[in-house]
Formats: sequence, C-alpha cells, structure tokens
Amino acid sequence: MALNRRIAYINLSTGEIETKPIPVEVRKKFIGGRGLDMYLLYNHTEPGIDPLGPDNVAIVSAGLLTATLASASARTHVGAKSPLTGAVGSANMGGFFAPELTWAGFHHLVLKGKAEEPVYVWVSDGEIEIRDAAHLWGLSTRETQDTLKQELGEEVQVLCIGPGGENLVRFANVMSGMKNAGGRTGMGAVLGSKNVKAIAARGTMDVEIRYPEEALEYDHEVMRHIADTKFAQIMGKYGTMFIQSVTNSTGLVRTQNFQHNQLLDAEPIECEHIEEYGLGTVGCFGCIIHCRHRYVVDGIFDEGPEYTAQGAFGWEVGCNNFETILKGNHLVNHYGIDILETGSMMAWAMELYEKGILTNKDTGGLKLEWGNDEAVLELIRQIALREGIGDVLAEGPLRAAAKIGKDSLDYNIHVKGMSNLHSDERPTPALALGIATSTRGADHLRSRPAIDLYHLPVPVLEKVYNNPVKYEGKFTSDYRDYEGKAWQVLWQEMMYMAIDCVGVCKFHSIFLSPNLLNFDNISKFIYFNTGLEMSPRDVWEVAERCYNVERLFNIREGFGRKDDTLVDRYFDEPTTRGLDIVRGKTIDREKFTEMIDEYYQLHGWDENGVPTPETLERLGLDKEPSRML
Amino acid sequence: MAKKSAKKEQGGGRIGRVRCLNCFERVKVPPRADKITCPSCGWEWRISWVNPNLAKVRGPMWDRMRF
Repeated sequence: MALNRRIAYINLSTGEIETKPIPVEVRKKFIGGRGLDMYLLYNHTEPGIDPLGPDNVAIVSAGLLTATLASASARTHVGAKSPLTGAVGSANMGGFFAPELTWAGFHHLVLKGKAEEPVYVWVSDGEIEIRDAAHLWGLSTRETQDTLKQELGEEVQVLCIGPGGENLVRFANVMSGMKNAGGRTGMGAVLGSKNVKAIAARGTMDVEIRYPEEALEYDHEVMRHIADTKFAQIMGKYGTMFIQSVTNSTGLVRTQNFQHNQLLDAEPIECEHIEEYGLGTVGCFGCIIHCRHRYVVDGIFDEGPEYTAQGAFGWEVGCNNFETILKGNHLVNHYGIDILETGSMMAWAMELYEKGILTNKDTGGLKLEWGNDEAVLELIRQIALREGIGDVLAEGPLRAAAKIGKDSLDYNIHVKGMSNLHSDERPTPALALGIATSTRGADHLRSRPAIDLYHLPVPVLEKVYNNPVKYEGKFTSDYRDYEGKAWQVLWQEMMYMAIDCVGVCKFHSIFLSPNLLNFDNISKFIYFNTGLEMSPRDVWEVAERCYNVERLFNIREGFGRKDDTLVDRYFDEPTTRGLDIVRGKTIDREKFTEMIDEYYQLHGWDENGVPTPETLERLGLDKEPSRML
Repeated sequence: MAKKSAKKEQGGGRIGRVRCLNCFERVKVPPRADKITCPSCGWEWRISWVNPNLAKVRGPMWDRMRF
C-alpha cells in the first residue's frame, strides 16, 4: 500500500545508504510530497549553509497518492535550499518518474554530501545503488535519458540534469521525459553541485489500494466531472497556451520586461498556431486532460510549448514569432534550465541594453534588442553554457545585478531574488500579494488565486473560499479590489500545498477553474486509496503546518517582512496598455501594506511575519526541528 | 454528458457563450462566428472554437486596440 513506501538517505560522500519506513504519525502531520520534503529540509540542514555545498540536501519525492487510483497522481517534487534565492528550494513536475519511484518501493530520497566523480542513482525494487556517470556528464537531458534507457531498459524512468545543472546555472532545472521540468529555484544546480547527473528508477512493487472498488468508482466520478469542465476541454486542445489570448487581450502580461502590459500584434503567437506544428497532445501518468503538445519545427521534435514559453520567448522579449517560441522551448529543455527565469533574465538584459546599462562590449556584440529572435536563441545557449554575458545572467537576478552594477537591479522584476512569471499584477492586488509573500520567491504556483480574474459572483467565491475554513470578511468579484484578497491568497496556499503533498497535478485542483478538486475531494482520495481517515479540515491543517515549516525555514535563513514585497515599479509605474479597466494601474502602497497585515494576522504570524508561539503550538511545530525522520 | 449540454443550451446556459473581458457580460456567440461585439460595452473580440459548442475569446480586434 502507499503507506509502506520508504524513505532513503543516500550519502554521496561516503556511499552509505540507509532506508527507513515512514511512520503513520509523520504521514498524518506532513502527508508526503512537498510537505514532508519541507520538513526534511528544515530538519536535515543547518542555518546559513552554502546551497551549492555538500551540506545542502537534495530531496526527491513522490506524493502520498502517487501511482494510486487518484486521478493525475503523477507529480514529482524536488526540495533543497535554493541556490537562486537562499530560501526554500522547491520544484514540482509531472510525467512518470514519481510513479516509477513508488513502484520501486520509495517515496522520498534524501541525497546528502557530494560525490567525488559524476554519478547516477539507480533505484530498483527496494534496492539503491550509486553508479558511475562519467559517460553521461555533458549530455543533454534527452540524451541522458536515452542512454540510461538503453543501458537499463525502456521501462526505466529517469530524472536528470542537463548542461545547465552541470554548469551550476542557479536556475537550472531537473527534467524527466521531453519537457517535464522541476523548473524553479535551481534544483538542477543543487544536483549538479553534488555531481549527481541522474536518478533512474524501475519498480514492479504493486501499490495496494485500501478500498479499490470505492477508489476506482470515485476516481471515475471525479474524472467525468473534470472532463465536463470547459477548462479541461480547452486545456486538452491548447494546453496552458490558451491563457495567453485572455491575459494579453486584457493587458495582464508584462512585455519588454515590465515596460508595457500587452503585446501589440500578438496574433502570430496565439495558441491556435500550434496546429501548424503539432502532432497531438500527450498526458502524464493517470491524467485525462493531456495538455502537452508534441511538435516538429525545423527538424526539432519536442513537447510544449506552454504559457511560460510564450511569455519567455514571446511577449517578454518583444518577439511575435511562434517558431522562436518552439525553438526556445526546445533549447531550455535540451540544456535543462528554467524557462521562466531564462526568459525573465533575458528581458531584463534587453531593457538594460536599451537603457545603455549593458553595451555591445558587455554582450560580446550580441544585439539585445526587442524582437531579436536570433539573439534570444543565442542567449539561451550562452546562459546554459555560461558563456559571455550568459555567465552573468546565469547567476540569477541579485548576483547578476551585483556584477552588472549601476542601477540595474531597479529594473529586475523579482521577489526574494527569483523572477516573476511573465504576467503583470499591477491591476490585480490579489495576484500581487501572492507573488510578494510566496515562500520560494515571485511565484504563481504557490498561492495564485487565478480564478479571481474570472469575475465570479460572490456566492461562488464564498462557496469555494469558505471550505473547509470560513473567512469572516467579505469577498469581491472585482479583481482590482483589495478586500478579501488576503484570504484568497492564504486559501490557495493551503490548496496548492495539499495537492503537492498528495502528488496530484494542480491543474486538477482549484487553480484555473473553481469547479475542480477541493479539500473534500482530497480527503476522500486519501481515505479510499490509503485508508487514512483525514477530514477536509485535517488536510487543511496539514497544509497549514507544512506552509509554516517553509516559512520557518526562510526565517531561519534571514528572510522576513522586508522580503514580502514587490519591486518599486509595481507601485510607481502605471500600466500603459490593455482594457480601460486595467490601464493606468499601480499597486497602492498603503492598501498593499494593509493586505500584508491582514495576511499575517490570518496566518497567526506577528507583524514581522513570524509565526507566533501560539500558532506553532497549535500546529505542533513548537519543538522543531524535531528530527522524527 | 451530451444530455447535460443540450439542457444547458435549452436553458440559455453557457454553451456557445463567452465573457466579454472588458465588462464581464456573457455574450452569446452565433455558431461558427469568428468575431463578436459585446452588446453591453461595444468591445469587439475575435473568436475561435475549441469544439462546436465551445467558443473562446481569441483576442481583441486590433484596429480598436492600437495606441
């Protein structure tokens, strides 16, 4: 059964490997996946360690419901101290790796120390080996996977790094399959710093379902419901690219770094153009949505692109060529670097070039002009291989700004040293609060109340956001308002944490549609598949506990209220384009401060954003680090 | 599922409707139409069809949007 999957501690310095069961009491407190990873991160690292040193840990995990009869239970989580931000490092990806790891008998791998030479970790039916990877070093992500599959068998699933991770690009990702990427916070660089090229898994150990008939029936019920939603139908045809039409039309994207909030003449990069290159869509383990396109362009075969690729190689850098998006998407997959951070760093460099802060001398003659498709593709390569100006940009916002100097940091759109999505939150205070307070930096996948953009009637908002815990304040349908938004952000934090703990895809939860999985559904999935009785309120409390552990980690590393904010441009530069309702918008500093105050108060944190002793006691975190596992 | 869709359409529900991104009015889209004008605020939108019953706003009519 899912509850008998083990945790393995792999010491890369000594070669020692220890495995343990995960006690049910730990499951009840942290469930698994991201939540338990964050507990392990807090407990197995010391304050102030170098994220790229041997004292950091890299934790790779499956969720509690991975490979069960819970729909889309495919997600792999990777955690460590982030080399990009120094805060919580956390990345999540789909595909087939986590189910294979589960069938091989494990839910969590904790990699410690540093191997002397390149290695890969082989996990197979309860056994773990550290193997030589000299022949893999230098290979792209896909070449690495192909090689290991040839050596170990086609059924093997591989999580790996590419040249970006080997070169310690601070936003290098981990990848599995053609495009499944644990993209954010530089987890690929952490594996690279440990000389770990890949983890390969193959398992034949069944996951026993506690109540199989009920679990299957319930999963069918949920899948029918999901398939019936408008969201699933559009996702199944266009993937996340469908978001571009709406957000660009409205004026909610950031173009030319942050100078405008709409790409004029965006027609050439709209999602429908995938039909000219696409070969159909594919899905992750256990998912009926199938949101990933496969495409061919100029002899390149790859998967994607997604909304982030459209932003990274489209509107952020002023390009409106769909083929640039397809090729750029391929290059970041090939090299194993985060698409979002790459696009944002390039857009920032282009604005610096426009303003004369970067010159041809700095760029080696590369003309970083808006809409220069060739420069965009070349810069991806330079970043991944740390060549020329790419070597500077590979350091991420804060370190790169320190190297470039002048007032370059003023133009970077980041929070806590991590770049924001290619979206513009100036007209949307709820979304702005979400990126400002997220534990891993500017982030749309940890707290974004995306349905706030839908102008939903208040009764619908009440139905969604008062379950399982009621909010005493008022909601508003207008995404430009500040009222009730602090709670929506907090609620989404709990939702995304819960779904990350069980290892189910966020696109199946209340993220882009109000009609998808909520805490009730997660509670039932847990019960039918594992037998664990956890009420929706219990699941919420686990999510709250795990989120507070992330917060505790950041506080221990020196983060606090001063870091829960936005760059000045959000407050000082009004939006220039878009619909009447979003044009001329900035974030109001005073109201924003009030939102932060309310957000802290709702969390049970003090005015500095530190969990109060009462909150820690209520959540059972008053004795952390407790080293239960 | 087909039964449910038919019922929605009969009742004037959401099938074949999109939301105007400017004023949030729900706008009925004639079958196979490639553009609409919001009767509430007058903004014009380009339309694409995910399936014969599911229209989506593809973008604004650019001649009204250039600055």
